Amino acid sequence: MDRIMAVAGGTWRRILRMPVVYFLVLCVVALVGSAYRYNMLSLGMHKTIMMDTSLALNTLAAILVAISITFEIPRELRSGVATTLLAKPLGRTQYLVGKLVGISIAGLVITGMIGVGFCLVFITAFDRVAMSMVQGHLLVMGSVIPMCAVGVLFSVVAPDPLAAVLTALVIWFGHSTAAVLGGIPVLYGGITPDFNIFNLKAESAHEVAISWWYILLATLWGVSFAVSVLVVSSSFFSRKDLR
Amino acid sequence: MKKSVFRRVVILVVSVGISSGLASALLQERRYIDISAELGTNAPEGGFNKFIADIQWMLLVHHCGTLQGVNEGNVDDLYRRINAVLKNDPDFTEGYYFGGLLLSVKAPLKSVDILTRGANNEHCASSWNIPFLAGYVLANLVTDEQMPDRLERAERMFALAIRRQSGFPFVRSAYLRAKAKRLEKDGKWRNGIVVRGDYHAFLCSCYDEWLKTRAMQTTHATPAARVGGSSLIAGAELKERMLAVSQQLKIEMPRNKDVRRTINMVVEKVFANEHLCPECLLPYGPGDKYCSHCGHSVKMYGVCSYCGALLHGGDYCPKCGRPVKVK
Repeated sequence: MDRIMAVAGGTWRRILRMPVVYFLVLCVVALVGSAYRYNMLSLGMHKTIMMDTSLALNTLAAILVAISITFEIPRELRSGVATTLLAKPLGRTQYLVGKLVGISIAGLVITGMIGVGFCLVFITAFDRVAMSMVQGHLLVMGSVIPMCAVGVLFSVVAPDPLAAVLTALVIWFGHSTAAVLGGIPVLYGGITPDFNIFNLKAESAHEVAISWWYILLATLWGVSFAVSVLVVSSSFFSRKDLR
Repeated sequence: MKKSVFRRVVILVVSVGISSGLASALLQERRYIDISAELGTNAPEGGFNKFIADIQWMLLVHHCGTLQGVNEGNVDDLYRRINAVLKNDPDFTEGYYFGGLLLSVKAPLKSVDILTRGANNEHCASSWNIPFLAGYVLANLVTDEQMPDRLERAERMFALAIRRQSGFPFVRSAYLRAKAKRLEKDGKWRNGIVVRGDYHAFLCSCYDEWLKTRAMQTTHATPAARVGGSSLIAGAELKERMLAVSQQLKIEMPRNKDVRRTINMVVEKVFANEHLCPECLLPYGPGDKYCSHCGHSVKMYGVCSYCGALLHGGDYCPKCGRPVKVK
């Protein structure tokens, strides 16, 4: 466990030490705040637009974090950092788990910062934040874990530019699987992801009540799906020839 | 099989099973939250449907600002744009209202289509103005050729608007007028009475609605009558409306047989103890032998049956001291 946390710590600390991350978070919060000025252009729908912009940008941040891992692992493999780490008594699976935990923590911190930033801006503009809005951001935060797991999988099976594209495609089309595979057990949600589980943006923006039970189940699904993806990734990674 | 491989397979099978089970449970749970999902799009939009809807909405607002007005040339394009917004965000209440309003004059059927979808969407149930506007367009802008059952649908829409917001008298008026229009179109009312004009039809519709109120108040009303007969408008308001219309009809169509029969029925059933002049339908006071407005003889009340003195209330005549007889 200590070894996993060491790898995880190295990953998330490295990401969160980058000043560009905070600059981007600041840009996102500024963009969300600027939606307040869309009052006229949206016929008074600026409140909803502000809420929705924050959720959309937060999701985008989560996707970018997931894509970043597809560059991180191949980079470490190329530079020999991974080989050095794996030469120590550290299993390949532990390395991948550490990477997933690290990138997930980084993703949760970034999306959490955007969520908190939104709440502050929204309270400043409208005096109150509905619980459904907070829940919408919590769901986005929950989506980081399975998305990063997909990123980890492609980072071990494909070269980094392709892995990034594949991760983005799976995340994009993974939002529409319910319509096609919704009735097929095992395949739906077990083998193919449904990231739309975390997408209650419209409901959050329209202040429709979301149960905490749903959020808990969605988070559990994210963790469980990440475990299955990680097992597959680990199987590929254990056969990978590292130089 | 190596131990590590076996362990991986077991973890994989268990996690896939759990994920699949959870996803199915979440899909069921989602149907309760996302009740308008079937109205939405299945296009792969990466979960950004609502954000895309917001952008399309602002583009639509901007596009409308560039138009001189809604006409045959741009109505289809506007309908397509509104539908694109609503497909991406089926719970967008203002989108339904604005879209319906925008198309109501030039394309009433398209407007009704949008408004009906909005009115039937439970996530937009806080909005009374969508069903009200839908009813208005159906009752006033759609023609019978375009939609033969438009008035029944208008009635349903106005009824929905009243259930959501009963505070506005004009919504209730619109409901009664839609009922009246339907009666006028049908031509026949109860007991073979032929409906003569809009005032007469309005009186008939008010009376039908009042009967529903009475059915609800009757202790022995059957459960079916109670359910089918629930009135949306208070009895006192209906009485006030019926009296005003009856008085108007007395002036406008004093000789019409059907109108007279209807008024007599209304006075007999609704205003039985209200002391109205049978000629002008205005109330007269206790002790009056003739109506002070039209001079017609009226049935006297409020006088002692022994000495004919005017009673001031209480149980005894103030002049002869005899107990007041209550008929």
